[in-house]
Amino acid sequence: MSQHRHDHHNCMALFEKMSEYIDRELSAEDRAQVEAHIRACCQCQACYETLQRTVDLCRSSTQDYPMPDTLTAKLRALIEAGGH
Amino acid sequence: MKGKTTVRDEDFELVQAINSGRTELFSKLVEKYQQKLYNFGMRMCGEPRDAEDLVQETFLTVYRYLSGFRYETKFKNWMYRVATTTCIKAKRKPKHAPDYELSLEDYLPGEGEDLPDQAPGWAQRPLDQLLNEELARRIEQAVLELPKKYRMVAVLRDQEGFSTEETAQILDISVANTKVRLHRARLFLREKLKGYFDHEPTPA
Repeated sequence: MSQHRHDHHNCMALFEKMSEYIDRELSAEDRAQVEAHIRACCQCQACYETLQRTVDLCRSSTQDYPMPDTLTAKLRALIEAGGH
Repeated sequence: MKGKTTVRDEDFELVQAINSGRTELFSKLVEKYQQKLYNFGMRMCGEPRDAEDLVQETFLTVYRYLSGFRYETKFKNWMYRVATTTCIKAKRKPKHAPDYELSLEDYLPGEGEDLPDQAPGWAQRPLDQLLNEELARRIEQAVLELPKKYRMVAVLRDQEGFSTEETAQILDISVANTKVRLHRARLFLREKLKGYFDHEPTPA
């Protein structure tokens, strides 16, 4: 029911802080406020979950790219030339 | 008298040795960081040729200026600073990276807009059920579509694993600015992922 009495101001404030909340960069007081709001507002909860999942997916997509042989050769040449 | 702090990181001794004349040890630094820098180059540029140039330019600059490196930061962070500067200066304009500002308002739900009361399935399913080659390519593409200044922050923070303070230092911007760019970049990426999952076949 709480979403029908949605205090838009709180949602805006939360929206701006959401990344800091995800990164655990908020003060204990701000963090508690965000948590209380998320518990009470299912729309902000949904917004938080999709952003958190976006961050999780980016952090998990860190596979190595195969290095081209040409680069390995260039770096070897750089080392042999002593950076010249 | 206030002296500058010396950061003793895992590369300290190796860098000291190179700077005291054992230049042949530079190959150890190259071996250690070439893959990481190439990954960074691919995430930033999306093209093997450009990523290759970025790695080569970065090592060349590091080699030239290593003797002036004073260990006021970790070697790795200094090297990434060189890499990001190289990237900013790159003449080639990637086709998918127009420079424009991302505004927070663009991602705010509009007044009266019908917002979902529940997070969609992709935000709730276990990560390992979601991740596959196609999604990895989609994320890669979405990152490349970010304007460069936002892409740098997103890549350094969420893919290279630097902290907010380190990212700010590497890019020579304030912590507050780093946070603003990161948040907007994540909101941009979330929209792209939403778009992707909205068209994904419903799992059985």
